[in-house]
Amino acid sequence: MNEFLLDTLIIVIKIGVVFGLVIGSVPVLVLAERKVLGWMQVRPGPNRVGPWGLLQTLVDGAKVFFKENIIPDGVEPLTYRLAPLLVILPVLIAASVIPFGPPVKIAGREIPLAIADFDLSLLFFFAVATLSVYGIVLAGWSSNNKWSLMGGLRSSAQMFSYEITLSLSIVGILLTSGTFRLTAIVGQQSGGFWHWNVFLQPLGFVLFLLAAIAEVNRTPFDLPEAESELTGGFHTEYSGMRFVMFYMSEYSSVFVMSSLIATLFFGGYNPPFPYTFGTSWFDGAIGLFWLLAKIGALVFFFIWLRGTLPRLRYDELMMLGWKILFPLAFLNLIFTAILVALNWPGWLLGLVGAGALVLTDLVVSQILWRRRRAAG
Amino acid sequence: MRLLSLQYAFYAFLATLAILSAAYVAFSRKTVYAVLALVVAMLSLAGIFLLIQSPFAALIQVFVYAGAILVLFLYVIMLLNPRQADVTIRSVFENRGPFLAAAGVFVAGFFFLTAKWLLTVYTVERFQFEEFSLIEVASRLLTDYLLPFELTSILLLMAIIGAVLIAKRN
Repeated sequence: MNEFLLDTLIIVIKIGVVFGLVIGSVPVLVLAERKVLGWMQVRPGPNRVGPWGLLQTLVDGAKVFFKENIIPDGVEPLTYRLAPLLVILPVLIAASVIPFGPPVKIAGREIPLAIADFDLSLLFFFAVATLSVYGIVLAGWSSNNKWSLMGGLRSSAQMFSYEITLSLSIVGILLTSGTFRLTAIVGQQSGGFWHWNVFLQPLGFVLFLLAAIAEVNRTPFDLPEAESELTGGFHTEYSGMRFVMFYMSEYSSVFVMSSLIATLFFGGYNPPFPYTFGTSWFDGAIGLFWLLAKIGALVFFFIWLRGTLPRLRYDELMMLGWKILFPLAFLNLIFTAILVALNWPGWLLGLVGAGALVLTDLVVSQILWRRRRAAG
Repeated sequence: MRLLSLQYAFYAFLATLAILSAAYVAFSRKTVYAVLALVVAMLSLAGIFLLIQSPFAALIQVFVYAGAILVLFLYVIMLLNPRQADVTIRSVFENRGPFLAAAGVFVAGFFFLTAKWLLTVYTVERFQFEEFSLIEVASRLLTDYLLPFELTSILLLMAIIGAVLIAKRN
C-alpha cells in the first residue's frame, strides 16, 4: 500500500511539473514572439515594463485577470463556458507522453521523466490532440455570431485536412524505429546528431512540420483567426480570462508540438554529440536542457515564419493539404515501407528521402508557377 | 485486493456514464448537446477498453470515433442550424433531476456489484493478452483475422466511392 501511495505521489509531482512547464512556457513564448517580431521588423518591441520589457506579459496577464467577464446575449451558455476548457485540456494531456529527460534514479527507484511512458504513447498523443477541435468548433457555434461560426468551421476543416498528413508522415518513423513508444524512439536517436530521425526521414520531417504548423494554427496557416476577413475568428465574442485561455492554448500547443517535433526528429533530450546518460539527476537536467534548447530553436523558427510569410488563401490551403501534402505523405509511407522491407541502410533511406524532397519541391513549384502564369 | 475493487469502481463509473450519456443522446432536446453526450459515451467506452487491458482499442476508439466521426456529426448539425427544431421536441429529462440521480445511483450500483462477473465472463478473451503488445495485435490482425480485415477495407472503399458519387450527382 505504501508503494502504491509513493507511486501516486511521484505521478502527481510529475503532472505538476509538466503542467507548470507547459503553462509557464506561455508568457515566455508570448514575450519571445513580440521581441523577435519586433527585431525582424526593425522596431524595439515591448521595452517599457521591467528591464528590456521582460515583465510585459506578466503585466498583461494581470490586466486581463481583472477584466470584467462579459458574456454576450444569445450565446449558448453551457458550451460557451466549456469551450475554452476543451481547447486547452487536450494540449495539456497530450504533453504527458513527452519524455523530458532520461530515466532518473532517485532514492533507489528509477523514474522515467515522462508522466506516461507506455507502448502506445505516440498514438495517445494524436488521439488526445485531435479532441481540441471540439473546443474550437463549440466556441464558434455557441458565440451566436456568424464570423465566429465561420472561424470555427474553417478551423475544424483545416485541422481535419492536415491531421491526415500529420499522422501519415510519422508512419515512416514508426517503420524505421518499429515502435510507438516515444522513449524508445528517443533512445534510438542517441549517439550524435547523425543518428537523428530527420536525416532518416527528410521528406517525412518536412511534411510533418508543415502539417504541425497548420495544426497549431500558426502563420501562414492562421486562417481560423484571419482578422481581415473574420474580425477575430472563433474567439471574437470572448473576452477576459476566457479569451486568455484560448491564447494560452495556442501558445502551449506551439510548445507541445515543438517538443513532439524535437522528440521525433531531433533526438529529443539527446545532445547533438555522443553522450551516454547515467541515472543521476544531473544527467536528467542535461537531457531537459537539450530538449528545451531544441524546442526554443523550433519556436524561433515558427516566429521567423510569422515574420516572413503572408497568409494562404483558403482554397490554396485546402489544395496544399489535399493535393500536395497528402499524396506526398502517402508516397513517403510506401517508399519507406519498401526500403525498410528490403533492409536498406539508414543513410541510403535518408538520401532517397532528400532526393524525393528536392524533386517534389521542383515539381510543385513548377506546377504552381505555371498555374499562376496561366491565371495571369 | 484493494486495487481490484478500485478497478471495479472505475468500471461501474464508466459504464454508468456510458449508459446515461447514451440515454441523453436519445432523449435530449438539443441536438448539439446530444452529440456532445455521444462523445462522452465514446470516451467512457474507451475507458472500459483500457480497463480490460486493451489500450489499442481504447486509443483507436478515441481517435476514430471521438476525434473524427463525431466532429463530423457536430459539423453537420451546426450547419443545419437546429435551434428552431429544438423547441418542438420536449425532453424526458426536463425537471427530472431526482429521477435522473436515482437512475444513476441504481445503474452504478448494479455495475459495481456485477463488475467482477461481467469483467471475467463477458470479455473478448481472444484479444486479452498477458501483457499488451502492439506486434501481437498486428500479427493476429494479419493472420487469424485477415479476411474480416480485408473485407472491412473493401467496405470502406465502397463507402468512399459511394460518397463521391452522391456528391458528384448534386
